[in-house]
Amino acid sequence: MKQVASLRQRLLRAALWTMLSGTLVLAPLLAWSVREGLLQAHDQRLTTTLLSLVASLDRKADGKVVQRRPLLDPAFDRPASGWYWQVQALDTSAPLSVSVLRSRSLWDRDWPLEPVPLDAVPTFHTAKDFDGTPLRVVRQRIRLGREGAEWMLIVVGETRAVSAGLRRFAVVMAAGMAVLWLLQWLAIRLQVHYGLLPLVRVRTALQRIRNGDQQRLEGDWPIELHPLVESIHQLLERNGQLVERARRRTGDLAHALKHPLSQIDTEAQAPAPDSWARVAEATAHLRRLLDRHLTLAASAAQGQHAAVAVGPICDALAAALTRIHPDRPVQYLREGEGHFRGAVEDLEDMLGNLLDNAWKWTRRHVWVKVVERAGGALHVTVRDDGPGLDEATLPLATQRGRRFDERTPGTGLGLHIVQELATDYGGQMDLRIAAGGGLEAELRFESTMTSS
Amino acid sequence: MKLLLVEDDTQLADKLAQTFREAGFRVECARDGATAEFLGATEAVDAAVLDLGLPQMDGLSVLRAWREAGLRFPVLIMTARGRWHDKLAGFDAGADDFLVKPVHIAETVVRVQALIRRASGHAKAVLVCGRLELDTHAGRFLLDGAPLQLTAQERRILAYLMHHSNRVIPRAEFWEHVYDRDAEVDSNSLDVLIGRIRRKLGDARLLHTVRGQGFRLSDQP
Repeated sequence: MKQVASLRQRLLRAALWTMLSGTLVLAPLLAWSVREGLLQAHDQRLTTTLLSLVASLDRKADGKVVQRRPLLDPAFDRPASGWYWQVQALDTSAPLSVSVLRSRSLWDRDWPLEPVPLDAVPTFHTAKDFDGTPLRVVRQRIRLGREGAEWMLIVVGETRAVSAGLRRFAVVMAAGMAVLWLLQWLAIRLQVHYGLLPLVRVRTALQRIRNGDQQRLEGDWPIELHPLVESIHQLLERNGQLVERARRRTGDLAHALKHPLSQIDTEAQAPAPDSWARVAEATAHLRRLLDRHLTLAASAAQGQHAAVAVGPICDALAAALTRIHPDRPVQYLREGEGHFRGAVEDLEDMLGNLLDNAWKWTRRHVWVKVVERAGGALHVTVRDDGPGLDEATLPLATQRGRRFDERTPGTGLGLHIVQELATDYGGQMDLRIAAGGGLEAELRFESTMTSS
Repeated sequence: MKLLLVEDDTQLADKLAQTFREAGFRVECARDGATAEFLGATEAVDAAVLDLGLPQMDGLSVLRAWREAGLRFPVLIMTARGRWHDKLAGFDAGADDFLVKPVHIAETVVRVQALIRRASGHAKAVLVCGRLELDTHAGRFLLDGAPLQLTAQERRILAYLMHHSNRVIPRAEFWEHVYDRDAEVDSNSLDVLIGRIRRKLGDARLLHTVRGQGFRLSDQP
């Protein structure tokens, strides 16, 4: 048997893959979401600062722009703090002394003009401080006064707080995920163990059946296992029937062998001039027994089979019998159609023996009637217009080796084999005297959907 | 009558061949399927006994090959598998009759004789031509109801003529169907044998020579 992963391994592997996939998708998504949130908060602060800066500016009558009150954030007063603002005239004709206002934190440096589009609404971009620290920049173009010149307002804020927030979040997320993973893994192992417990019980119960301690899978089972338990019960029942049948047939064979063997034994001990004839008779008997048991042993009644159309098989057998008995001008008539759910070879053996029997005894006609009833019940009747049997001999006709006319070729096993095969499929064969004389044999399978 | 006997069991084949020869058959033997197919296609065979389990090529394939080639001589199949499924497979392939092993040798001969008789268009087991009768089961000739004493070769020739009565049988056909393949045959021997048979038939005047064509058995002149 090919070794495949156990159910436990399969379930754990599936859970592991799900958890890993979830982590690989969720972790970057969460990190991106937090970073965006922190950045938005930072940008909001820059925007607020920009608005405060606009509010603090004033234009004097001579066109000069001054800051009437300083911004409250002390970071703008601390040199190289990473927080800067700058107001720059866009009109190049403005006097140099009034062209630029800047925060004290810039000290004596100008914030460089970057090749970034400028707009009348705040626009953001990233930049580096003079020492390489990452910064966030917001810029806006404004006009001070109705006819005043245009100015560019720049507010810059360092993003170390954003980076630090992200790092903190990553640490917390990793720790949280590790704990979640551990808890999930424990829960999954517990679920798998608990979920598979009934299967372990099935295994134990089967072991008890094998040891002979019990006959069936006793106890209550989860609803998902009901079909399995039912199938095992059917299998056990079928095996029991097969063993019983095999035992009975072996007993039959042993019993049947005794007579011809003792006949041969007797002739061997005291040979007489005509011993050969009695030995030949005994070997012929042995051969018939062998044929019968080989046919029954080859029966495939225990398997599952597709439906076989009965009519074409009857017709093929009739054609064969016409060739086998060319000197008998038999008129074969069939009506109806039905399906047999079993091995085609067994159906051929049953119908072949019935038709062969009818062919041997008929005067002129052999009738076959096939009826399939609702639910799959199948009835096949084979009738001839031969001499038939009387009421007293009818029950004896299916006995093993019983022959009513030694002048007609045959083994006397045909009807017995038919009956045994029909029984194998849970059916039966009935023999009766036909309405106009002759013999009528009926094969009945009440439901060919299941075989014994 | 020429029989093609196809059987790989040497012991059984020898017994069958001997019995068929004693019954007046000329027997060709094949031990495997390929040889059987070749002999069936190249020899003028009147009937064949064919085992199904053969080396090189199974019996059913041999039979199908013969039938596909248009060969219509009757074939009796022998099989160790006696289920109807196997019998139907045999008939489907073109067999005319079957026997389940172990076979009764005498029954095999009777079955083949019946097949040949039917293939020649004779429904009954006793063939009749005027005052002459051939009981195909017993292999016995009766003239006016009395047994006719014939040698083995005379019986073969007359049996062949009885099966094909009222038809002119060319000389070559006798060589093919009546004489053993390896037999050294004098060109006059057929005339000698025909002459002897004619003398034994006496005044029945059934055996006619058709000049330049062959011989004809008929109660019509």
